[in-house]
Order: sequence, then C-alpha cells, then structure tokens
Amino acid sequence: MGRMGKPNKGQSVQFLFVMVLFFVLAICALFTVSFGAKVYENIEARMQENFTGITPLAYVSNKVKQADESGAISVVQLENTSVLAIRQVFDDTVYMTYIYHQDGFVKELFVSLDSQFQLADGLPVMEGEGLSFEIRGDRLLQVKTGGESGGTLLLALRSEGGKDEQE
Amino acid sequence: MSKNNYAKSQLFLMEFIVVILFFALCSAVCLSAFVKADRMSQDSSQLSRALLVAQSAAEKIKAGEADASKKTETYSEAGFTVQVENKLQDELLTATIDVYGEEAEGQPICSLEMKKYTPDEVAYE
Repeated sequence: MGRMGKPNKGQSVQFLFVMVLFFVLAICALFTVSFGAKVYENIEARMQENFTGITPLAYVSNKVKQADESGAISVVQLENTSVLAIRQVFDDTVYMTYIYHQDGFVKELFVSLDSQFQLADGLPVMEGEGLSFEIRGDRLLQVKTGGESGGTLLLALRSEGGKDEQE
Repeated sequence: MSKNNYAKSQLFLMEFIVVILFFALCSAVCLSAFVKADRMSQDSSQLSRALLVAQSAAEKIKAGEADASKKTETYSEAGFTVQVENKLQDELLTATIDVYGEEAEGQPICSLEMKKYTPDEVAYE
C-alpha cells in the first residue's frame, strides 16, 4: 500500500472539517438566495397591490378633473353597476363617458347620449378588483376600489355632482 | 512526502476559510440590501396610501364638507391618523394636513398644505 495506504486519523478529521465547512457554505448560499427571492416576491406583491388599488383612483381623478364643469359629472346605476358618467358636448352633440367596473376590468365607454351601446361594449382600461362611486353631500365624489388593497379617494366637484343636469 | 501532503492540505484549508469569509462578507452586504429594499417598498406603499388620505382630506375641505371652524382636528382614516390644522387670515383658509401612522407618533408620513379663499364661510369663535 505504501503512500496510498489508509489515511491517518488527523487526515480524516481534516477531511470531515472541510466537508462541514463546505456544507455550511452551501446552506448559507441557499439561505441567501431564498431570502432574496422572498424579498423580491414581497416587493412584487406590494407593487401589484399598489397598482390595482391606487392606479384606478388616479385614472378616475384625472378624468374627473379634466371634465369638471357644471352638471358634467354624475353617478348613475346602469345594469346594476355603479357608473361614473361624464357629460361633454362636441359640435352640439352630447357625448357621455362612462367609467365602471365589469368582469374584473375597469372599463370606459365613450358614446353619444342617444346611442344604444351597453356596458359590455366598453373598452377595458386596466385590471381591477372593483370600482364604485358615490356622491356625498353636494360636491363630494367618493371613489372606492375593491379588494384587500382597495383604497378610497374623495374628489371635490365644481359641477356639484350633476345637480344642474338633474334640475 | 507526508510533510508535503500536510502542508498542501493546510494551504487548501486556509484558502477555503478565506473563500468562506469572502462569501460571508458578500452575503452580509446582500442581506442588508434585501432588508433595505423591503423596507423601502413598505415605506413607499405606506406613503402612497397616506397621500390618498391626505388628498381626500384636502378635497373635503375644498368641498366645504370638513369643519374648518375648528383650529385643529384629528381623526382616524384607513389605518392612519390625520391631523388638520386650520389657520384663517384675511379670508384665506390655510390648512396643514399631517398624516401619521396609527399611533400618531414621531414624524408625519406625509404633509400637505392647502389654501382656500373663504369669504364669509369660516369664522373662529
């Protein structure tokens, strides 16, 4: 056997020590990677929550502020759905923009007042877990997004919630 | 020959320990970066929600739905504490809206100042 004979006790301990170190290194590497993956997962989930909860509110807020004239903004119930109706006049024709939630999407429908389109014909703007509107008092529009990450936004209306239109 | 083998394995062990130390250093830096990223994401999410609450409070004042005759008003909304401080000078209402966490301690998460011209609308006692 000579040189290639049985390893002595010292060598075995050393081999074992190296293996243990290697094992610790592998475990630590695995832990670091899995921790990083978990953090990334959390950040991604939070971003998604923010998107579905807040982006529809920002979108509606922009739309309302763009078209906030006397009697232009109102909340109506169409096909058992809470719908934000924005009234605009172009070339003596009245057009309505309806914003609502249907089939998991925030949808928008831009039609002339006398058209026969239905809510199902609206264009999906973004995915969402729910969107509802309510007029509070004379001049406050409450917009609510659904789901766990849902939020609420109040908007002061100059148009007094379609008051002029109803009168 | 045995001495030579012993020296080689010592060298290998040293090299291995240096590698592990380097790895430990790198992983410590990575872990702290991960923790920081997670905290930043939490803060950003909280800030977005706090801004919504602050904006809603400002819109309420703008619409005349809030009680602007009170100098300070504190209420809870959506897991935040909202503190509104009203100042009236020459018919100009200045409201400072501070949004805190649930405990309303320390620095506000966000702060918003709004002004509204209020002729004959608000009067302090």
